[in-house]
Amino acid sequence: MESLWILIPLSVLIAVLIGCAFWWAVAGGQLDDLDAPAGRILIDDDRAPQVNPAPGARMESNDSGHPR
Amino acid sequence: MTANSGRLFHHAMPFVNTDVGSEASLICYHCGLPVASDTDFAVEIEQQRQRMCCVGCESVAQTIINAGLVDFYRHRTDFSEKVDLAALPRISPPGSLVVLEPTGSAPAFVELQLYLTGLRCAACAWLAERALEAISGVDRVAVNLTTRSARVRVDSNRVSASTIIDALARVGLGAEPVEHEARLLVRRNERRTQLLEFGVAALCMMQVMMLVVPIYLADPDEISYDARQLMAWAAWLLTLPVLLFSARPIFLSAWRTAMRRTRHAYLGMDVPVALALVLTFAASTVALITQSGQHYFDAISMFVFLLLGARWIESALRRRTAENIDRLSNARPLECVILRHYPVNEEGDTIRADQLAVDDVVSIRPGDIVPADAVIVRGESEIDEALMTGESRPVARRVGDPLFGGTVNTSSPLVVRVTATGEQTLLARLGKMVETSLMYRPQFHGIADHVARWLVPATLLASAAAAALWWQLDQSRAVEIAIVVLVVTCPCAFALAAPTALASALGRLTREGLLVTRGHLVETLASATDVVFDKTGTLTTGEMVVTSMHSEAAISRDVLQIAVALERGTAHPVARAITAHAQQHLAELGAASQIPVATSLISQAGAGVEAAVDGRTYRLGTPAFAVPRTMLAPPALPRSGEFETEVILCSVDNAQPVVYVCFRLADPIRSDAKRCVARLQASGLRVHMLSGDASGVVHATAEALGIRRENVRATQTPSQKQDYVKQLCAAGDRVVAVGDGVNDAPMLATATGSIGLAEGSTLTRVAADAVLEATRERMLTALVNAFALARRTARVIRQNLLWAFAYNLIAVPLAFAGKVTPLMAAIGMAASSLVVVLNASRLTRAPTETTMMNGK
Repeated sequence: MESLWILIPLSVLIAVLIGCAFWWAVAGGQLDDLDAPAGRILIDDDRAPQVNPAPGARMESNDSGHPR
Repeated sequence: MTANSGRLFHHAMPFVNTDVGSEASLICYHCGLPVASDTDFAVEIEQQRQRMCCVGCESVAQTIINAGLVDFYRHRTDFSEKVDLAALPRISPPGSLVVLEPTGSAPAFVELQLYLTGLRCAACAWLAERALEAISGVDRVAVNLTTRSARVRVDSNRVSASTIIDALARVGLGAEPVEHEARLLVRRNERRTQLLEFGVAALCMMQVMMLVVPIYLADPDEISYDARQLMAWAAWLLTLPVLLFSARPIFLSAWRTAMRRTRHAYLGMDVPVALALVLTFAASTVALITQSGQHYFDAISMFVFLLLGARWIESALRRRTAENIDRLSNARPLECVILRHYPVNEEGDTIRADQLAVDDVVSIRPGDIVPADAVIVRGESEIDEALMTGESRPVARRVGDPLFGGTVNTSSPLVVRVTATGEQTLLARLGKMVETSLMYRPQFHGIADHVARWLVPATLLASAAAAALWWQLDQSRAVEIAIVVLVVTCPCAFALAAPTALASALGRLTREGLLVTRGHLVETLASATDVVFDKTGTLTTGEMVVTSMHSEAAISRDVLQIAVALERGTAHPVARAITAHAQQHLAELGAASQIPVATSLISQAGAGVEAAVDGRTYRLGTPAFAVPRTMLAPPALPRSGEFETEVILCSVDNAQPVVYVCFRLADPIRSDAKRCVARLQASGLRVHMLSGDASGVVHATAEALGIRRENVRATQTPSQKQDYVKQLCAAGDRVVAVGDGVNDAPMLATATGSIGLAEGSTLTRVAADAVLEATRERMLTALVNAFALARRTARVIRQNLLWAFAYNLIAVPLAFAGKVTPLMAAIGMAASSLVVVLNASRLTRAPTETTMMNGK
């Protein structure tokens, strides 16, 4: 029973920490889109897109080499 | 409704585009709509030849495949939006884009905020990001599916906004620059705050439960007194953020309701809720400090959590509608060409449309939107005034005639003098009319509000009575009993009865395609007695379509090619319909690309066009215009079905004029309109139809739909429509109005409940309590389903209230008698709330398509 004197304050502390982490995530915009990320994880990005634009299409090869 | 599917040499095409069932076996791989059996559009995707319904879908699918983005088709969870053929050639309309000027050689990064249309699932968001990242000069792309917007960081030296919009159009997505970035920010912050409040309530609720449940379940001597106190204080500590932070919106709106500063009938329950929260917390804290009696921290946090959950769903929908309204309205062009020195010279300057002043002279090209109210000083043309009048056919306007801002110039260039701008335009005044009507509309009171009115005094009275009673019997128990009575009658179940049912109904309605902006609409739909429809664009598709072609001889490809050559250049809806129809038949004959060139083109407003093709002169237009007098009588044509316009192609060379072909056009009735009207009538609603169109067409349409003649009015102005609805309301009917044009907006704002179409004007969307967003083929089916669902929702709300009432009827006397232990009170409260929530959640699964409204 004595362990409760540590465990309960500890659980309150953890709850506060989780609350802070949640606040940080929301304020940082991580939860602005609740719909797309869930599905996006399933889409494989392994195969690099072969860029082969149709005549007139403005899709040029990605030479800026930005991450993603 | 696309150009229709039919044979070339037929004499009567079906007027109504029905029978999806017969073609359902073959659907477009891209958009999921039926593929006409006599077309041949296809793209090879992963070694499979996939059929497409139109050139638009075909070219978009081909672009996606060519760019190596085949994953899109693998992972999408919904069909894509049908590609609007008309949108493809004018992908970047001049004057509506921010073109970024190159400033130097160093990369100058600029952030663009875009609204996207056509986003349906996560794969669409991925596709948009991939399409943009492939452009060199694009630095970062973030697509947000929730707000359906994108933030793009680009090097303005290399990429212009039009390139971005172009690239998105090529993969079938629409994009518009965000005009009100500040509003976007406000909504984003509001959303974050709400999410935080809800999240904190959820977290604390779970923790409090974990601390409190053992106390309930354990035997009295199983947990030591000290440990029990510790757990209670921990629960108290964790309830604080729920009450002080999460429940803030409840307290605020309760305060506002108490001060009578709000018009939201839906929030009427907030006062008893806030009162219960404060009193329960105070009593529990006193009990904790004095170490006597029971505390109810678990009840407080769970109650707040459930309420915020319902509220979150509701406000997410409201935000989405607000976004829809913010999206650029097509009623006002961003730019226009001003002629500063007219009539001395005609050098045009492009300026922002909102900088126009009265008496400025403006040049309006064919296809342009009129930027302000004006009067014509030179030229004559046909103006599409559908926005104002609902009339789908353009009207001829010549020198001296007034033009209204927001209407579209369809055929030839005009020079106009501005007569009114900004707030003074007819469009703005109609907007004002809507606003005023909304303000004076009788407020709707839902069942929950009626309950709320007597719930507060009743609860307080009951508590006071209990305290007074026990003061006589046993003074030491008086306070405890009073609190138990208060907690037992706690408005939990009452307060949750309506919001939970409405929240799950709103979620369900959104999936069905009806986006509700004002919460009372669900209850209004359930109790409606009359439905008033607009005709053009609501019961009909609002687009001209060729319903049949007639000719004495067989129609050769030459004839069709000449028709296309004559009509190709004009934006007139009739011309567009004929071009599309003829092009489709030519495509089947494999001759779509060999269109001859028409020279010396003369177009006459309200009549037609005359032009020379291969040395011969042709006229295409109304019979009076196209058939020359020398010809004694036009050939007799079979009369069939209902049509609105007849257009004849005739050669007018000297000696022998020949009538080649007669096109008949109509604004076709939506495929599901007839069933919709029949179902609404079957469920006991009176269906009315009001239209600005001419009497003959309106009554023929009404007859085809089975609407009774006395409920139909033709040639109605916006204010006449409003009066009609006002009269119905005055007679005590509950009227739901459905419409799409600006001319419907006053009527919508007057009706008890109103529904606008997503395709309709911005003003309509503002005036309406809900917006129909279903795909065009299911628009009216979604409406019927909404009615059915609304009735079911009203039933669930009544059940919930009945349950809450029954629960109180049993619990309150027991509490009075002192027979309710704190544990029983807590469990009873949780259970009663849970029953209400579960009952409400039935709405999300209820079938709508089959078991229709008969089972009222």
